[in-house]
Amino acid sequence: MIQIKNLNKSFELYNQNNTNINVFKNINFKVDKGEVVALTGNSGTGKSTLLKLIYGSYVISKGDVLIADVNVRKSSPRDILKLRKNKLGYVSQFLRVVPRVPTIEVVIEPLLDIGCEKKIALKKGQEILEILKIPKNLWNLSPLTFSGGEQQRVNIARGFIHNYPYLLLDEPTASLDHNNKNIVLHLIEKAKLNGSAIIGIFHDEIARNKVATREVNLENL
Amino acid sequence: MNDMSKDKNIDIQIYNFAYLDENTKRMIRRALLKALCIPGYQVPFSSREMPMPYGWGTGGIQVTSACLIPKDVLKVIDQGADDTTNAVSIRKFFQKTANVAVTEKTSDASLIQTRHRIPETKLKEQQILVYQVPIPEPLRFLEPRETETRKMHALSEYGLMFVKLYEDIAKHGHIETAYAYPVKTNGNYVTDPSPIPKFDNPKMNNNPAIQLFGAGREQRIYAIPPYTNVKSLDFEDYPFEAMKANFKCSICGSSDSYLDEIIVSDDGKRSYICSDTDYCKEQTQLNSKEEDQ
Amino acid sequence: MMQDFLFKASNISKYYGQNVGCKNVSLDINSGEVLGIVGESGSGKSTLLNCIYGNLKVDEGDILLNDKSKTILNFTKIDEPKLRLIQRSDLAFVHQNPRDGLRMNISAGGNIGERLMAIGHRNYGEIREIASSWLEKVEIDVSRIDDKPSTFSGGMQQRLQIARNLVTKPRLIFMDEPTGGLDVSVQAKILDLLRNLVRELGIAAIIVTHDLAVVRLLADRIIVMQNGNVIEAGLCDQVLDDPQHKYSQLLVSSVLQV
Repeated sequence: MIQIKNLNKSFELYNQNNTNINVFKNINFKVDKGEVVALTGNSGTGKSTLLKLIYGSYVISKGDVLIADVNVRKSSPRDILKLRKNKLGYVSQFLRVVPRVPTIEVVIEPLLDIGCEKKIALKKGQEILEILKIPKNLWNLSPLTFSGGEQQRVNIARGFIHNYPYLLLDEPTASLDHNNKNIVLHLIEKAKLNGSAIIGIFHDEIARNKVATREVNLENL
Repeated sequence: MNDMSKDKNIDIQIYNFAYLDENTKRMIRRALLKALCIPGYQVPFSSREMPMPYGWGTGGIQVTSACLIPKDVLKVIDQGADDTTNAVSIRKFFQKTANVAVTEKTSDASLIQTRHRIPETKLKEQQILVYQVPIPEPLRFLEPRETETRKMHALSEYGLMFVKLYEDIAKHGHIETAYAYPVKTNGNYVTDPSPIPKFDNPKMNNNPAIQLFGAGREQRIYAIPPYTNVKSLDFEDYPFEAMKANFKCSICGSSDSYLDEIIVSDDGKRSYICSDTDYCKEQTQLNSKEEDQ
Repeated sequence: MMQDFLFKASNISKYYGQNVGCKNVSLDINSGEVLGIVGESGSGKSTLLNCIYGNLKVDEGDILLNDKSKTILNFTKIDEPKLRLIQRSDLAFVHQNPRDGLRMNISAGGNIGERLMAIGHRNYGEIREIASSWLEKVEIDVSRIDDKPSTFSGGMQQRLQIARNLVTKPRLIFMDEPTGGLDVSVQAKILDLLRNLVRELGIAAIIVTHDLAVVRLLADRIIVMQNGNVIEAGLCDQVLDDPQHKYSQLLVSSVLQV
């Protein structure tokens, strides 16, 4: 279960006239196993910020994020890294990888990090790339040369190659065409049935309605 | 030679015994004693100006000078020969300044100063062999910093020394180093044997004589005491090999002594003769005796 | 509580006369981790790296290494022979300029072999075999084994330096701007190599760099230095995405998109 308790976030920008930006205050909600919670609200309400707070990329100003038995605010960097490696997946809109590394290697990295044997990891990587319809002749090229949609699918492959019990999705279907969108939604559906607790941002209403079990509107909190 | 010995009394009054003053000799002897106590360790000493240029054996001469006593019998060789310029002038120098007896026979000498060879005739206890050394630091060409090489010796960090041998094998298929082949003295310090051919290296091991090394320009003295273990560095799969030209001496017929190659005619005909002139003479005499019988 | 740490430096201070090299710096690292040290030039990064590697004598603080036999050694207390032995067995140091870390007039194989021979390898065939396998690992054609590094490109030299350092299987590797002098595409190759080596060999690395893109791709955690002080430390992406200190914010915002 992911639990958000009285969560506050503000940014202090020292180099821009000490501006203080309050993103949100006192957010509370829970996500159970097998749930897909869609974050909604206009741009600037802090949807992506919330995901980054949960993932530990942003510093929590006040309140708590609990993932299973881990309190993100109180955890050491090492504990967060351990959490990410084993339990907490994150699919962002942007692909950040070492240039020149082949797609297949990029995709299986999460598995290698948890000590999976390379042969098995490669097999799983091929499977997921096939599901996501990334042409075979691209597997040994660096994804940095790919189109936006292909890059996004590589990111998704990374996020779904390991069965994370907790998943954060930041616009996973944003730049995908209809067919590919459905494939991704199917993957999310499968993870949900597998018992993952998922929080996502979906701008596309149809997609949201298809997979979300519940919506949390950040403006109303 | 007889002409010279007539003037010798005058010369001795002009020079102190064996040229160097007693304080300098004492300083060198202290360095020698320290060197003998720590086999293979390079002891710094304050090398003096000698009446000859650096590179002509000033280190060896200072060591000889500090060791000589009036009843010594001196032999001097250069590349094994008693009759080459360097040997002749150093021998004359000590005849003049110390009035010691000289010999060309290895077995008769009590002190032998050598450049680039160890005599073929086995040395005995009570004999001293003094080497002239150009560069005492075996690591010098690999590591130019003296502070660093001293530390490497102190901490036995000899990986670099093997790099040189590795490079030899990589380049030539065998260890190409043919002279000044590094040795490990008493299982401890890696030592430069002076530019003797590696054929002579095994003679250093467990030798009954005292082996002293003097480097005048570099101001270092080191020593190998009698019966000390001296091992030439090598790899397990490329063991050390003492090498010589695979011929017989064209004068004495010996096949087990180190040979010099000489070109004997204008069309490049080669001949090989013993580099150790005393040994060659001895062998020739033995041969003619056998023929007589 | 963590007795299985690999390396720990606590309250390290180094002064150059009146000037501060680094002050009161603490850090620790476990096996398989990559720690980045960032800051502008003159912030004390390299001083710190040289201090904790044992190259520079520290004025204050302790440097602890949990060695192979699980004994904890304090660099500030052990004697020099022991320290140098550790530096060439447990530790490794990759210089920014490969010329500082390689012997340019000795073949690639000799460069890799030196550390092996230094710890007692005396079999030419074996040494050569190990050297070849490392050339392969760092993607240098094995046929170049007898060529001198002076005939190599900058990127190859840097990869050779990494091979030379890793051949004795150190457990902690220190790197001072390892991709500093290289063009971007060569950098990428080296970054990928380092990541794989860290994962496959389970070694730990401390990387000093001013290049935030490099740390983002390599480091798990980073520390930010300014004027010899650590002003922020934490998860790599957290410090880069949500820096808390005024200076870190400036540092991050003055870089073209990391």
